[in-house]
Amino acid sequence: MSITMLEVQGLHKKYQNTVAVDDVSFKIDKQDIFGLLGPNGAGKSTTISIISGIIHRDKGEILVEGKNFDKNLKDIKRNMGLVPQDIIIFEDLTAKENLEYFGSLYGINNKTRKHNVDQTLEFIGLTDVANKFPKTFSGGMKRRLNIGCAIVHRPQIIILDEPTVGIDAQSRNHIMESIRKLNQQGATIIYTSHYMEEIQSLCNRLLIIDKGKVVESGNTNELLLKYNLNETYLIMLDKKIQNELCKQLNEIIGVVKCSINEKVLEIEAQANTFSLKHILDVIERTNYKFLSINMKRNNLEDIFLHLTGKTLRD
Amino acid sequence: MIISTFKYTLKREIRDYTSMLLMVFFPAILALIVGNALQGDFQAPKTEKYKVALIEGDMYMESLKSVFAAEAVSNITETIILNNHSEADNALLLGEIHGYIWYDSDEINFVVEDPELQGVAIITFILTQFTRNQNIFTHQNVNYNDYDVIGNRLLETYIQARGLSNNHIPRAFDYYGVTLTVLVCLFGSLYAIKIISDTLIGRKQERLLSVTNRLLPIYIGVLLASILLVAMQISVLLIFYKMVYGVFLGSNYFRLIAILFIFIIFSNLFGLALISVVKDYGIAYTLANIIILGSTFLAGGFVIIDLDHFGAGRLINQLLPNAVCQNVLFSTIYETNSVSFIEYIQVMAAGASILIIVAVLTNKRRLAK
Ligand SMILES: Nc1ncnc2c1ncn2[C@@H]1O[C@H](COP(=O)(O)OP(=O)(O)OP(=O)(O)O)[C@@H](O)[C@H]1O
Ligand SMILES: [Mg+2]
Repeated sequence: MSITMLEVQGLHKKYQNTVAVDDVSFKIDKQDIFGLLGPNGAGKSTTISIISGIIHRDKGEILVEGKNFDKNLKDIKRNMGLVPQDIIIFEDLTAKENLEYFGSLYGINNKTRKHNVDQTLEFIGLTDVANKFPKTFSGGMKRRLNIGCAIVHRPQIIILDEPTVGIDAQSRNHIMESIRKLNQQGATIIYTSHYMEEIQSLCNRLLIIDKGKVVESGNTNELLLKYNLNETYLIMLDKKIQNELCKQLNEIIGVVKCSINEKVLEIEAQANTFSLKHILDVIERTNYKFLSINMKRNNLEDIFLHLTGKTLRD
Repeated sequence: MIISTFKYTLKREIRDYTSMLLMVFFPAILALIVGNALQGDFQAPKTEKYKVALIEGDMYMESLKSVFAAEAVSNITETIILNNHSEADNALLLGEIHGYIWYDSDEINFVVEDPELQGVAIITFILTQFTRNQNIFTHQNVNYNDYDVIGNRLLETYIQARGLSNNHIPRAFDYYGVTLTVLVCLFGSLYAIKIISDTLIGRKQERLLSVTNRLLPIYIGVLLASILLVAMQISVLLIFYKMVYGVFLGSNYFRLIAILFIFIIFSNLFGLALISVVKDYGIAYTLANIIILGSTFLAGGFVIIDLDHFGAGRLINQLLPNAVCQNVLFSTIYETNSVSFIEYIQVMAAGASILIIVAVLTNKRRLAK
């Protein structure tokens, strides 16, 4: 039995005339990496601001480790680390001093703090520039410091609001790896992003919201399977392909569509019908040889498109 | 939390060299400009002699004549003798004299055309000395235009401002040095505005709110840093004034520093209240500048305007914090006791309480949203 870390019931938040969060409920288990997915203005940051105690909710129940949120807010905050969407660090303090200051604000004592700061610097890969000012940092380094400031007190829950926006692939991979490590060390992670690949590879559970409402939620793999309607194969053959081949392929159970582009076959088939084996059989029987096979699976982007009729990044 | 906020805020601000430059060099440069202008003016005075008429009368007038004939006085004033009031009034209207003096039963009256003229104050001083020596009950300054009794008030202001006491004849810069110091203390509120908006407004505040429920210690830490920085700045300024211009600061340095320190705290609280209400650095900064310069103007820092006609001058002098601060400083430096330290503390405490209440209320409302 897994332990419930955070439980949210019927969360509601309205700004002047925008409903930012509308009846959102979810449950996060200890050591989950929980993905919060949604297009611009979906209400991700608002939801996060509420559960990190920055803004008040209009309605809704929140329990952290089964405890009343409002009554235990002080302790809850000390056990949480929020990495905000914007980079919020002190430009006139060095990387190390930023960590020290945040550490002291989180109330960790001097001795632990020194140790934690050094470890955190190491962890976010900024040991070499510990005594440099953030204004000399690249975007990725600033992002990492932004994360460092939220984990220097070793929180049990780490909330990251689009921590990889606007940085290069290398920094991004570093951040993703760090999050996995933190998770392995026991932290529960809440992660929002626009980058589907990130969420897909990182999160074991996810919640998709749009216009403040929950659209879908569940285990990432189960969701992928549930919406994994079709797979597409791109098969390159050794010679120019005749129409006859497509006719034969179309008769295989599960194959939905077949088209030809010179030497390349594009075949759309229902997922999990073991059609690939039959397709390859037919190709061999008709005296073609295949040089390469590419398979494109449905991803969260497609699921989102399927559910809301729009893409995530527009 | 207070201590670490204080420590790291200090570090941040000291490294922010643009603001350090502004805060330390601005007052020094201001002082240089004003100081040079004033010094030039006072080392080579081109001032016209003050022309005063004495109206013939009894023996008191005779002794007064000899006072005005003395060399020290005749260097500053030019005296003529007239026979009666109507001659004197005529001369005043024609601009031949600036004022006239006559003796009437047990009072010496001094009728002036423009009470703000330097000579008026000098003659007032002479008259005060004179009446004391001659056992004359009192003397009065009378504004020719409205014949209001302004003598006592004028004398008091003059002594406060020019400090004809404590055995020191002030130069202009002694006066402006103190006024400028009060102005720079007020400019210190810009520091508070800057530091608070860098730390506790908008996204930064949200970030801190995700760390702790209690922002009060952070506010206190930040304000303490700001107060210390302004205090350092004022110290630099005072040392500069003393060394470069030899500004007269009296002898009670302890009291002087206490007064300034209290005013720096007040000024920082003003910054806190303003940024709490306005919530926007740019607007708060601009408003602060307008308010600071406006109130300095009203407090008689650079431009002396006669508000007594509206009865407002007295009120401003008693209620406007920087006016009160200036007055208590003059009073301490020249030992005139026109404003007591206790009175000053009371005004500052009242002002500070209002500012704190404003800050608390506006911040409460924001968090509850
Ligand atoms: N302080 C605010 N005042 C008024 N409306 C707001 C405020 N903050 C957010 N909103 C509105 O609430 C809605 C949800 O905003 P939110 O920032 O939570 O979205 P998001 O999912 O984080 O979007 P993004 O991916 O762009 O960060 C938006 O329509 C936004 O305009
Ligand atoms: Mg957001």
